[in-house]
Amino acid sequence: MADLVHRGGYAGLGRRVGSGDGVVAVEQAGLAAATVIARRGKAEAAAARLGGHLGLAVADAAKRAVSPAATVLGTGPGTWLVFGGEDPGFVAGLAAALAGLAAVIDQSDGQAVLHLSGARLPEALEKGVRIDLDPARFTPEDVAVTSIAHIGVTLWKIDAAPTFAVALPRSYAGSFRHWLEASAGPAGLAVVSD
Amino acid sequence: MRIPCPYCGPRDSSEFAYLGDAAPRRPADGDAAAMATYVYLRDNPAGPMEELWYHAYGCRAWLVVRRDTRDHAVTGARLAAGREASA
Repeated sequence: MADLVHRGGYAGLGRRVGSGDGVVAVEQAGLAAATVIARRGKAEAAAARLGGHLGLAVADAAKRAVSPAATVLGTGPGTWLVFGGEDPGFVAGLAAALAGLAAVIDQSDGQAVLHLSGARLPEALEKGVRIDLDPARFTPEDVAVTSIAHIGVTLWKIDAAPTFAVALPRSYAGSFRHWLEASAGPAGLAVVSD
Repeated sequence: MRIPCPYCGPRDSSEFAYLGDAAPRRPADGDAAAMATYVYLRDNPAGPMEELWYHAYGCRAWLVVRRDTRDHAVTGARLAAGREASA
């Protein structure tokens, strides 16, 4: 039987563009990921069960709940995008815990995730993000599903540095990387991936 | 134009897809005249009206948005899900 190896969405696109003085982008490869979509009328129950399973307080809102083992992102009414570590049983465990309350769909090979940081990150994000990312308005508790350069993205903030994370369908990774190079390249962009 | 999505917050209208008037309700099967009215006839008010918008680049929910057709002032939005039950 073939031995399959996880390959991140940004793999093979090249490691480094510039100095990294302005913006540093680091691919987060190998994460387990799943969408959780509550069945009709079960959003509150699914949020409670999801939170109980992961030991987090999960709300049915565009908010982030995080622990060392998992990140839960509210992406729509009764819908969450959940990331785990490299535990191969993570998604199956979610599906078992949420049986009857929600559909759990494995996205581990579907989402490409970048962590973005750097002194000039805010001005680079301004070129593509049409929502208010002022620190007073968008905090590490918030999640936004929006578009950057016509690419649907899930955007959240990891810390106040600020470090942002961007998840998008992996087939768009090349297009997103193109936007990132155009928007952050002049400031000094470094990209780190496999 | 900015639409205040109840889940996502205020968002640019480019994130949304427009359907149209939120008022028509599908009639019972078998009533051809009522079905023709439902499918074809629309009011064209000059002023506030409720419309269905889909937040395609956001939370992927259908919204009922109240918009003034004269100046595009948006004065409210709510999730369309469950509106039959609450109407």
